[in-house]
Amino acid sequence: MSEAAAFPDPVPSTHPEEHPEEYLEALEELNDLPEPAELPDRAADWSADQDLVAALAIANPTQPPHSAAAPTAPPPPPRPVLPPVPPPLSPEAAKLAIELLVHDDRLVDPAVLDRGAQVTLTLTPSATTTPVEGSDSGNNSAAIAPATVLLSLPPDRSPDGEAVGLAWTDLWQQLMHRLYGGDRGWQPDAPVTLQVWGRSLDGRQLSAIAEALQEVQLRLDRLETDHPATAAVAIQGGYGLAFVPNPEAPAEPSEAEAAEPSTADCLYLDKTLRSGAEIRYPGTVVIRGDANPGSSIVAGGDILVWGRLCGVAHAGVPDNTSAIVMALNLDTNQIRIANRTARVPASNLDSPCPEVAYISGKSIRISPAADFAKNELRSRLGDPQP
Amino acid sequence: MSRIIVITSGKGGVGKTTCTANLGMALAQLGRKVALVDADFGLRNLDLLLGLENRVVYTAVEYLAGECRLEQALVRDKRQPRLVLMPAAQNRTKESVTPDQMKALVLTLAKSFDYVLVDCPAGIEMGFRNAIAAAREAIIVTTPEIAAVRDADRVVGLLEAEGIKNVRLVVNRLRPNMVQANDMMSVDDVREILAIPLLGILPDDERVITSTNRGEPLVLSEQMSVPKLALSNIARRLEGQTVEFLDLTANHDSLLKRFKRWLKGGSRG
Repeated sequence: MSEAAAFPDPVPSTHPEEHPEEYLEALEELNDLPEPAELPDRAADWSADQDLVAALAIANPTQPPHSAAAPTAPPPPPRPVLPPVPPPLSPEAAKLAIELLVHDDRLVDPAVLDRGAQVTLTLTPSATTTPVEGSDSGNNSAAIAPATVLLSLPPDRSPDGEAVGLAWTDLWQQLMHRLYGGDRGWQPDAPVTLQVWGRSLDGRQLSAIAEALQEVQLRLDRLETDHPATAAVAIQGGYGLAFVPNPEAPAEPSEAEAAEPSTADCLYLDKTLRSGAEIRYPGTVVIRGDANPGSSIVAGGDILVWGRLCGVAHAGVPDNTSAIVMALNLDTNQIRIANRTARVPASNLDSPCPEVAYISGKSIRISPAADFAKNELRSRLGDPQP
Repeated sequence: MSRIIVITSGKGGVGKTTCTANLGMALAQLGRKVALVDADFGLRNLDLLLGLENRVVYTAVEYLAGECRLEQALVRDKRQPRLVLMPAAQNRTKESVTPDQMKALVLTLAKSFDYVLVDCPAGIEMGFRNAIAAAREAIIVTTPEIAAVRDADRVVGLLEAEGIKNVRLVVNRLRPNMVQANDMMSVDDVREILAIPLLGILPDDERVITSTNRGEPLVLSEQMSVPKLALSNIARRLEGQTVEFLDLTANHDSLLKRFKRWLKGGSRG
């Protein structure tokens, strides 16, 4: 199973060049937004990127000037509100706008701009693995070399050298999540290739990673980096090294993975998500445990919580409207599916029952799981109602 | 093998320092050698609660800088000779010490004491990193309020990420009558969210405030009281003994109500 390093920002799939009217509508709708309480639908997380909105406003000449004013959507942390008159385009914003208008499928480079850049663990068929036929023919124990595990750390600076992304402590927490939380697809003593693009590691951090890997029976074997200092540390540690002084290289696999259907695979987490924990995954996320208040799950596919869901859940990112959120106890106060957001009213059920949130028509609905199975699933499958 | 326990909470003002002072004293009364480390550089309080303020000469910062010996910096308690305090510097900030230095300090103390209790400052920044650097166990102190529980939850997550898996919970400042009136989270509500083993429940009590102001840990007082008993019970549980949780609701309702509750399955606290 693989986890894409790149994770697209939750932006509507409508491209401004193709459907300028729709796009404008979306932006205007956004500007009219009042309190979250009255939001039936909301373009998800647009406000998260003020620069983008500003850049778009300028890049699109038909845009009325007031749209450049920042929409003050409440859920994300407060950001500086842009003045109504668009300021001169910053180089970064201009670059973004161009990228937005040129590339269809990759609206924003998530690896650089997305705060939620993730540590990813991928199991790859290793080049050194002996062909499977060898094990079939008899001598099984020595023939199979364990598959290489690819561990990739998100960058903490953009190519221009600006600080973005995760600090070391947050990164460490994510790494622990991935090492201990998920299902362990790897074999004991599997070699690990550590990919560090756009981030420097010092000797202590590298040895901390190596120790942590050792604890879950993995062996740090090789380091791939574009940072000279990190490369030097790897040499000191006696690890294999691939030094690629070209920051564009890591974009390749992420694009390739983004092109794959996002619901292809599934992330199992066998633990309680505590406040501050953030899970981002392009496929379906299954939590065997609770998602406590203050945690957040963002998934390209469905979200299933076998426990109590109190944190924020955002399924179907960016535009999968058939995604659903299921929980044994749906106790959160906000649910997002694709580009819709809904506030969940306080449950009036005496005893909590499993519930499902899904998009029906234009808005998100929440039904008890039993009813959902009866009605919604049947109509999705095209069966006539009994 | 000595035990290194960090007492932390995330939120401030929930009773970390009070718990540290009293637990340290209670463990010393059980015959253990205890070192208390104040990791709250710049805002030190532990010496006040122990009534040792006027005996602090050197602090951890001077020891780490090599300006004094370890024995000079440690303050020994006259009332309880098995207890010592490593005071924090008041004129520095939390950035003046690194996690590695703290780790070295705590590990040095661990060589000669049965327990090293580290009093963690509020927050999850540098001070927190310093305090948990050497810890092998943690006690989370929280009050039955949503803000405190939310912060505690975050801290448990951070501790797990640092590999500290032995984390136990102390619910402080519980008001049984408010819980019964459904005006306060119950211990079970707190446990449901945090999902960590319970180490103890402390009632909200005026005597705790009095003892804090006087600089005399409550467990030292002659008079038996509910909070004193609850604190000693926590110390005994830390020692590995099985001690029943106190029924804090006992004073607040009638025999009939207790009987009804017992019929329903006997909830505590």
